[in-house]
Amino acid sequence: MVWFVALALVGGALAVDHRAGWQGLLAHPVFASVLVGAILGEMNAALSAGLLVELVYLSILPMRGGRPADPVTSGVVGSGTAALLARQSPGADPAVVCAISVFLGLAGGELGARLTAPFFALHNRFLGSLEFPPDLDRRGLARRLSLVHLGSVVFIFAVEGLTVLLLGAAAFYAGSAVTRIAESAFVLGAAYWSALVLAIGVGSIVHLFWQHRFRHWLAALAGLVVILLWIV
Amino acid sequence: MFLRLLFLQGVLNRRGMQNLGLADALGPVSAKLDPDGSNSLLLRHLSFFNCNPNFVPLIAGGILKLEQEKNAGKPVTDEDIERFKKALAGPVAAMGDMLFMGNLKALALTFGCLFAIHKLPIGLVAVFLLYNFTVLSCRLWGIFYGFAKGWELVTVLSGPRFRKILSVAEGASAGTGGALLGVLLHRVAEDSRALAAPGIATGAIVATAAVTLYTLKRDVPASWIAIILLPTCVFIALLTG
Repeated sequence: MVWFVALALVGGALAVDHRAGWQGLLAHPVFASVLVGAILGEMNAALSAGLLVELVYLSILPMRGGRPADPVTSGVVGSGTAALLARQSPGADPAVVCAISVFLGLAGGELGARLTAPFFALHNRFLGSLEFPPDLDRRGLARRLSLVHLGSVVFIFAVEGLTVLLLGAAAFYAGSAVTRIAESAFVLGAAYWSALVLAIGVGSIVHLFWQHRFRHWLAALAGLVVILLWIV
Repeated sequence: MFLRLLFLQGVLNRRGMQNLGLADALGPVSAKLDPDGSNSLLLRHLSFFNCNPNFVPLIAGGILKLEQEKNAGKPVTDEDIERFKKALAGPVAAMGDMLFMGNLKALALTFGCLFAIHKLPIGLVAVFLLYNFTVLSCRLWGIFYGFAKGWELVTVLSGPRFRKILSVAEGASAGTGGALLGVLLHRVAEDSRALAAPGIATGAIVATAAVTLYTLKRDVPASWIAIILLPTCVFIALLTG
């Protein structure tokens, strides 16, 4: 339970950075996984899961009009589940643990976005409906604005923290159940899937960078790195 | 003011967008700009305002300069200040989105993925620190630069220097993206060779990458493909295994 609360606090804090703050990268799954891995003491498991979630989300940046389902929930739930499963069952196949965690993280992100959407819509409507009396003095108006601002940040922290708490716990119990009953067919399926998630990452990177006029740099560097890695 | 501008997006709303955040950020300095205790400055800045959050400090600095000039008796009216905000917010938002969201963030995330592939958390910490140093110093510098320039900001931002910075950032992020693409292609090729039927696996991998690219171009999130694929893969493994 303590670990779920810790994950919820991390999720809330990262949501503040993502939704209210200066978006300092920590909310992105690959960076969130370092924090989660350090807290839970399972850096490798958390980082592997965080990387795969990031590769899936890589090309969806807010400026392109779309927003990933809920990258904070995805990253924290995915890497948190991986780290907790690795702690709980050290003998389990790391590839299976990673595949299950990434799947649960991605599903958690989709579910989290739908769970939090009504709350954030309400929050948005509240902020849009605010009227300030013109006879209010400067100090009073400034204080009200500060309270609204602070209240909004606390609201974001609470909503996302509770979502991560709920989905993190659900993901962990679902993940540990699947890890226990996973048979050879599942292990093979997870191996296929891990390779395909990397392929999704390839598609995402091409989508992210191909539209710029420097696409020949992308192609040239990719070719060069492949040749170098092949030689090495 | 700097700290309040950091959390500007917390009060983002569809009606006024960043208006509440901007007005709140101007709160601490409004006492100096409105010495008679009236709320006119804060009320005026509660009008619609939307810009890239990393460039809002630049405009906020410019607003302070114009408000100060107005108080000093220079020929600056409330309408001029509103025009200044509107003239800058749109173009600066587009510039900020291209520079920060489209390039710097993409560059940092790509480096992050490269370090994560090689299991180097220290590299991720370094990227995180470097990115945040850049963004935070840009925001802090923005307030002072905006205050120093005032109306001149319009001329400065429409000059060629910004385009040059953007061009360098685009080249760097495309190059790093290419390196990550190369590493991933190599990893994918190795993974497909390790699987039971390498020929079919390679075909499936190429098809997945192509489908991802196609669906992303149509604004379908790649996460949906990944979610659908796991049960499919397990089903196929059950059939074949």
